[in-house]
Amino acid sequence: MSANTYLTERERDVLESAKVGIAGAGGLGSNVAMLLVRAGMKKLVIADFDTVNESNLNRQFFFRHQLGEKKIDALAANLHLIEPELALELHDVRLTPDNADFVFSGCQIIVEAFDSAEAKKMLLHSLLPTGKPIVSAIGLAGWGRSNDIRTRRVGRNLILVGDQTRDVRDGFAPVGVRVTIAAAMQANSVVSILLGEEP
Amino acid sequence: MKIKYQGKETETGADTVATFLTTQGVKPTEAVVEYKGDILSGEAALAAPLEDGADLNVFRIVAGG
Repeated sequence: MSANTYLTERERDVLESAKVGIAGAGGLGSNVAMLLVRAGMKKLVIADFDTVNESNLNRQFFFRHQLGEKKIDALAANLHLIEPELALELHDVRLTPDNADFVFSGCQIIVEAFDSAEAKKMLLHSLLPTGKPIVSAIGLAGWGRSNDIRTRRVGRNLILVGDQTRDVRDGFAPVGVRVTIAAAMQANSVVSILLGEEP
Repeated sequence: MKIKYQGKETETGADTVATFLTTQGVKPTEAVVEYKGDILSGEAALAAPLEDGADLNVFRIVAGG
């Protein structure tokens, strides 16, 4: 039974049967996954090659006892605490133009949740041509200016969350108070698209 | 000609999207380029001729997540 009892039967069916990909299990991805599971989703494909380290704890959905663990494994454990009946596909890989389409081939929507600009560019260039909705977050560092983070449609299948300005390379720190705003907006966009509404 | 760039009417003598972006100091590889409602990717797409009144938007790709 879904953890979310506020949904209609139709809404639960839609969310439980949908499959969504999440590229990156860090500040964005771990929180997007958490929110989608809390919303009632069960099928997620999550790809990340990294391990949990102490600097992640300020914004990522991991706990101190998980330091050193693979992020995909630690995240799966945490998600199962919310909802034991999940169908997660976990990929311990660095996504590239050669494997990204294959990893997310069964997904209806893909969430771009990387931290590096290069990886973001790579994923967008690799997956936008598939025509599937891509929900990307760009520009979410620092704190304050919450209202600068917006959701907008770009082109035919890109949903862009963020301010497209605040860059960690310019000295804006990645901190939970603003990263999680963007993650929540990404998750909100996914749920809206699946339920047939504007993101 | 005049195009709508980042929501503002902009006068330009550029003949292609790529040329216009160069005049604005934009590197297409560092951004998402949306032209007439489509995302342009690659040299061939960015060589699209610029049209009078067309919408062109650029979204910088920055790091953080």
